[in-house]
Amino acid sequence: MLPSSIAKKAVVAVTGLLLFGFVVVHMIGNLQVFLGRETLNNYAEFLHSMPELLWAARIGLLTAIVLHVVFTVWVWRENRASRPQRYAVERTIRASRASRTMILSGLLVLSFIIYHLLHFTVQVTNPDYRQFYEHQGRPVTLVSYEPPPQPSSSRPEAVNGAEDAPETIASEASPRIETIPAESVPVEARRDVYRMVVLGFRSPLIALTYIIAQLLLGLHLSHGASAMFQTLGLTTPKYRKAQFLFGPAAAALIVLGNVSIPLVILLDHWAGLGLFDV
Amino acid sequence: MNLTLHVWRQQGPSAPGRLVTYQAKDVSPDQSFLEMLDGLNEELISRGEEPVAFDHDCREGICGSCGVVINGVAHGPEQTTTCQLHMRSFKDGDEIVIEPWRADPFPVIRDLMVDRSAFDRIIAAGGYVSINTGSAPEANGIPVRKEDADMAFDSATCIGCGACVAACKNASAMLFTSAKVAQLARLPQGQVERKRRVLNMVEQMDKEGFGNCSNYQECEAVCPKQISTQNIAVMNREYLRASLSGA
Ligand code: HEM
Ligand code: FES
Repeated sequence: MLPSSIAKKAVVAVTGLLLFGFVVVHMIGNLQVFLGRETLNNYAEFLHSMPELLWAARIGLLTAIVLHVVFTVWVWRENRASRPQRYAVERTIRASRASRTMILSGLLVLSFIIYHLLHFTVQVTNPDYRQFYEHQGRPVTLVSYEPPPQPSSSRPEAVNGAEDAPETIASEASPRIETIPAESVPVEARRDVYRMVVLGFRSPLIALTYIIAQLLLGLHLSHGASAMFQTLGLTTPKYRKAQFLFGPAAAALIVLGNVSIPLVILLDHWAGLGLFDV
Repeated sequence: MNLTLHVWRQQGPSAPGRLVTYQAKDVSPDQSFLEMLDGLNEELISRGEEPVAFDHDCREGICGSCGVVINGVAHGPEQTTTCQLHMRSFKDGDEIVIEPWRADPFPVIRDLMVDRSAFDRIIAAGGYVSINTGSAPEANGIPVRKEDADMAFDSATCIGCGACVAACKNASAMLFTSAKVAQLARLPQGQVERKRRVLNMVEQMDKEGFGNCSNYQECEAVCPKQISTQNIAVMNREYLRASLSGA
């Protein structure tokens, strides 16, 4: 039996709520970049210290996003089919712009999420990030880093490209950074997420991409974070006003917090203030 | 005042339709919108043309028969029924586009008339209270809290005109359906069939082909009875509770 209209929207709202919770926690975690290398890298190490939990969270989020997209596209298609003949003149009285562009903002956020994972998590768009390590509180770069063998061995040029990477890094990183051979990396060296983020956002194109994506996410949540109360039947006459304000307010905070990271890093770089020690 | 009307004309359910332009002359600002259409129809009849078909009955805003989309807004610029809309809301020289409600479950019968029997089937699926008939019961035989009575009454003012469906970007019937669900869920008489009612009415609503709710609030903005979308939240809650408790 197919789920009813209300059940479908409940799936959208519950998965949306989960993703919303993740976005808030993710933002708070990332804001630690302003507290310095030590704090952010501690946090990253902490998250990676429990691989089972990390993978459970990743699988949970992946499931949530797949369900969210499948169900929103499903209801969106049904909604269009419910009015095959459009009006010659159609006016909007109360529906917000955000509410009418949910599918667009959603799909753009989805493409951003894919890019974001390729950029910072899988690091295929910027493979040089894989060489960023921290040793005794100082950034080090692995020079003879070899990426794990690719399944398609028919592309040797990709491997060559990765081998060339250290030169690029060595030239753009500050001279204080040691470049040491991979085999001599001491066991207590750990990934330098801090340097990855700061160098990442010094690229104006990357910073701009992240900023635009956060504005789109804000648009999505300004409607979505209020709508979920309605969809789950949680609005009450007494708190209705506050519940409708919740979306825009939460979205504003999320945009502010998330945009501040690329924006401050880029402005600092341009102004040469040196707030970030890479 | 003189107006230019663009009226949807369609011979029958499967015939193609189109907007036809007419001039309405010497319209009084005191006329209702339907009286203005009556004037147009008299002129069409005197010219030997087919009058414009539109639904109406009470003409005092209580039966819910009337309803057209006027310049892109269900029931036009005032938040009331089309029969209660007066021509003083327009000014001389205005162009007015008049279309029927547009929704897959509301097929056009002719011109501006649509078939709204989908609403009847939703009500028949559970929008009632089963009682043994007999003489009218004592008015205060079953005590109802004042707050509940007020809220149930607000929901009960729905006249089933269908403007909510017409205005919704998704052609959703959630406001109509939820008004009945919320009304009866508030009252002691509605308790026996409470779970079955919401499950069956929503099932019928979906079967008719209405859209889902995206919380646009467009329905509330055009409802001549100002039914609140709070009813939709109540219906969502009733539905989810009934499904989860395995009714
Ligand atoms: C971080 C990612 C995301 C978050 C936090 C999020 C959050 C939400 C929330 C809270 C809602 C409100 C649910 C409701 O109406 O009750 C929502 C609705 C929606 N989301 Fe997302 N979403 C995300 C990603 C996406 C993506 C990738 C898509 C792509 C298709 C999408 C499409 C939609 C649509 C179309 C709706 C409106 C459904 C409707 O009411 O008709 N969202 N989202
Ligand atoms: S004709 Fe009855 S409500 Fe308009």
